[in-house]
Amino acid sequence: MGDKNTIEKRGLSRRDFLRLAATAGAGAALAACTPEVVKETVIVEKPVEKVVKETVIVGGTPEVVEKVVTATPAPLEKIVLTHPCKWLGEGDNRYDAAIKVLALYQERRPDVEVEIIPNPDKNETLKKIQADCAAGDCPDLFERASLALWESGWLLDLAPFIDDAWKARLLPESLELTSWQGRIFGIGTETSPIPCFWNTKLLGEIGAEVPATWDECLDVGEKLKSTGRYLSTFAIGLNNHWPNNACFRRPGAAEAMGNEEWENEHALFAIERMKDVYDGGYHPANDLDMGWRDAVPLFQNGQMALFMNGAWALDQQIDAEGVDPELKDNVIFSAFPATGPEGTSIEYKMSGSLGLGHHLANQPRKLDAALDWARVWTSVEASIIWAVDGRANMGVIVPQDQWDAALEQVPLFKKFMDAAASADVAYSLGSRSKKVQLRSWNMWNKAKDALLLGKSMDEAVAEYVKWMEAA
Amino acid sequence: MGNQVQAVRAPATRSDSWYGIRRSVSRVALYALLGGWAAMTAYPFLWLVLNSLKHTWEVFQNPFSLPKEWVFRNYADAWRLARVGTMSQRSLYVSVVSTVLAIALASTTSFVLSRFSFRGKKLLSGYLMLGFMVPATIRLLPLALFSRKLGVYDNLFGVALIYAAGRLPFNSFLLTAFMETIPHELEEAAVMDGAGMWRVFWNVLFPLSQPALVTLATFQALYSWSEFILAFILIESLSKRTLAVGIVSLMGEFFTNYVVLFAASVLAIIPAIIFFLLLQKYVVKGMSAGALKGA
Amino acid sequence: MPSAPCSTDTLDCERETDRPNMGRETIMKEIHSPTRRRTYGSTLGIIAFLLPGVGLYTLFMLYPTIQSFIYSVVEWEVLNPTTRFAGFGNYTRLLNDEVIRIALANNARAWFLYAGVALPLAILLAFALSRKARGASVFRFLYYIPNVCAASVLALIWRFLLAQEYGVNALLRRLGLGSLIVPWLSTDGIVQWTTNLPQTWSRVGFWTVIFLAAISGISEELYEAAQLDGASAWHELRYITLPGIRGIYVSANVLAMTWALSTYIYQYILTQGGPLYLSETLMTHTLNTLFENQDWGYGSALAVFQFLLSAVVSLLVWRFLRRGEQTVGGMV
Repeated sequence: MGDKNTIEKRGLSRRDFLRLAATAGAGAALAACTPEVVKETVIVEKPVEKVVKETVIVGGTPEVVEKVVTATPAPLEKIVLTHPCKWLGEGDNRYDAAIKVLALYQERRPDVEVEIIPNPDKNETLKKIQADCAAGDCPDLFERASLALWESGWLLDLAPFIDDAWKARLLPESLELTSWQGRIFGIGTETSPIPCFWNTKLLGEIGAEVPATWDECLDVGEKLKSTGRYLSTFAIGLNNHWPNNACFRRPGAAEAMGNEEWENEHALFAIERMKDVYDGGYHPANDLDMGWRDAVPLFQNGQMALFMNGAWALDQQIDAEGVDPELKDNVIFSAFPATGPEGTSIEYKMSGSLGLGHHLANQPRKLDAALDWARVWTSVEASIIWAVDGRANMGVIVPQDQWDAALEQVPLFKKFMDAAASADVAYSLGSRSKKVQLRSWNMWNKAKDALLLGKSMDEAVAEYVKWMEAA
Repeated sequence: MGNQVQAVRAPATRSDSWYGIRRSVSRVALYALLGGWAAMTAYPFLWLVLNSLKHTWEVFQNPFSLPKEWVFRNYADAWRLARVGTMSQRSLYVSVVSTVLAIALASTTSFVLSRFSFRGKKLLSGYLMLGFMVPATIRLLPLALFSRKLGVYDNLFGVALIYAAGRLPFNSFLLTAFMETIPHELEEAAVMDGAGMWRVFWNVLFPLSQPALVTLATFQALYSWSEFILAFILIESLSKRTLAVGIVSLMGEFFTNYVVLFAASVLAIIPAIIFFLLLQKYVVKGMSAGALKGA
Repeated sequence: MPSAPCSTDTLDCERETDRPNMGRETIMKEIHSPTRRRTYGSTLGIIAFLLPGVGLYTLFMLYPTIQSFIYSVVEWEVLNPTTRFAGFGNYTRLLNDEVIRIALANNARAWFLYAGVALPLAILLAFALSRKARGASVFRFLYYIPNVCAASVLALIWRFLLAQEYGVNALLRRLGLGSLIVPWLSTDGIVQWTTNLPQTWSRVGFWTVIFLAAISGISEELYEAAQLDGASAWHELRYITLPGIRGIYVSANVLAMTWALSTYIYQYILTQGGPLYLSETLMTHTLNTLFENQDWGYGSALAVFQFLLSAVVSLLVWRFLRRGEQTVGGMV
């Protein structure tokens, strides 16, 4: 019939289509047979010896006798703790260090398996964690326990579990950053000081020493400007570490900011210091365009003298593949230059803090395993592994002799930590006000944007205040 | 049409593509437009491929020149670090399954929308259009909770199902427009032979919609292949991660190995491009064989 | 037997295709495909067919969306899942939010670029390709490529291209056009446009393919008749092609409108909302509020606002353009 012909002319016939569908189906079935990791539940039975008191009647009188009884407790399921992390995986030295710490833990707790799940970029990981927690399925271990997560109710208060001995070996600045109103929602797992990295080769070319005061700093900037190079960029430190140092080390600043009096003299002082650099033109013209990742090559290529970042920058940006191999020899670390009588300063910032999921409160065995994980993670041994293999500072106070011996193996890291120790004032932005903690990495961003867009000081301050109030 | 007569010219022959445009200047101008735009769309990919063969520092120093050293090792690294081999399998699975499901869902829905009128039909069309207004990110948190309740969490089939359901507005729009132009005679013949709704659909309308179904399948497969956020949120096991997630995972917080990231992206894009290249003729045919004239 | 001629609104009418001999011209005259007296099918059958598609769509698309909207007026307790009505405070906050105004301006710019630049360019390209015998499929393929790839990868490429030191500017410097250098991503007045460019760029190819398909449905005879009359290419475009693709043009506009209101990925990756909110869009603002500030209530209110705005404006655009179609008087 004419109709059938029309059908055939219109493309694939039905038979062909079915064949296609069948092939697709077969392909799907094949693809479905991807090998999957099958987790086995290992039953761990450990015979236990117990001393039991029994009442025995001997010659008519009851006597209490002690007996040794061997019992095998009921078989236990292997505990699996999930620990999503933002590391890349193999090739990232922090991952390598983490694996070693994991081995330490396994020795102590062979009955527990910890899954370290590498996750993409911080923002996406945060979305996933929030989504999972909202669905009631929090991870057991948090790699980045923050105040915001605590406020959402997803973290366990660790204060009851951290005894004095444990507290004694944690750096106070580190603990500050993970405490809030008497509760401890996390333990710092990477608390790094943020010193200044100076390119001495560049300084040598203009005949300057490492600046010890702010004015010397600006002087260096002026000299560099005449050779077409920069003091530093807003993208890498001037929007954050610099003003933080200028503001928070001053006496009274912490209180004022903690009381949310945003327009206090200390904050204004900080913004004025930002304006110093902007007015002098000691930063690249395209600063507003750059993110911190774009600014790093400027330091690596010797175009700017000052860089500020945490210990994580050592392996990723200074001593990294593809970077001028002489760079690490030309870098000197120092505390932040003095702006006033209070002297030089150093800020401690956290890039990771270990938290426990709130659901562990109802799972004593898992809680025990997780606390052990926290203990191992912040033990002296682990800290040495982190320092030597990961070039990271755990925020744990290690006995001086062990620390010195360990750091001999990593001279660059040693220089870094020594600079931090040399500061007159050390501080962290924890426990101030919620908003200060929330904005600890981007408090001055809007003021920076305003300044770089050419707005006046008043407008910059106004933007800063608006930003802090909106937090 | 007579109003638009200009100076009468000798009618051109069929083989001359540009009737009426005699001056070579205009011809050059239009070729310039076509070619210029083609260069603009193709250039970023050329850039991607070239830069995937450099060292990282060279990307920052000479972003627009040819690589000084052709670093093919980046591709080996990308294959290994992003686990392209295993992840592609899972992406392929999700693409195929979501395509099959999308075809099933859209064809049944479009069949009704194009063939029947009933009270509330316009409302239904509007209801489906609402789906266009909502990007995936809004639904993330409720969907995370919901998918667990329904048992489709951490499940590649579930992800495929959600893709198919999410694209229903677009797919049914495409298919309805096409189905509306299929003549009614064939189904009337089938009805006279005693066919009910299902037979009419399965034996007449569904086969006749094949061109549009191919178009639909292409769009759906391409979407599923590169979709990231839902694939990331809805999958937990590492052994089930798809390629899109694997590639974004290469963007670390402190450090991104840009050249490996570029290489991995190229590896992910190539199958999609080949797929589209093979099917592009059918894609256009599916939309044009009577379709897309009226909404 | 119904005998009224077909138009947009009547459902029962006599269709040209009832005639056995269908030429392409007659297909063109269909504006809507109405149904005849239903000769088969039942309500039950309709429901059965609709259930899988519409049902799953409701389940996975609409329901989570509605749930997320609820957070704007309901206090969300995580540990004690009781919900409390928290009032409309989030909505009053909406009215006073300065960032929304800046964001909407950027969405408007996006709309201008999509509907005012991308669509016309796509029509032009599609027309040019349809009249050209050779190489059209190559061009078509190249134009469509950006839509084949994930946006995050493209955004990364664009970030490099637009960055100050080593992007397009490096190229301009090499070509000696250094004076044209501008910070593309951080200049007030420019960043609002450059952050919308990549999406426009990739959509042109998408629209071109669609318009190409639509154009290929226009009868050749019309073009031949025009040539006999000696019409130029421009006249062909204006009097044959454009009316012929009117329907899809309307749909394309509605889609462009929706996309303009929900654009975010490039703004998010290129500038994170730009220096001082300059390149914020409604969606980046919403996402920031939801995930960065973890303010679920206000973020959900923003999502509701965006949704309603999309729905209302799309409807208006559709109505407005549709009305124009009827007065054109159908096809040539």
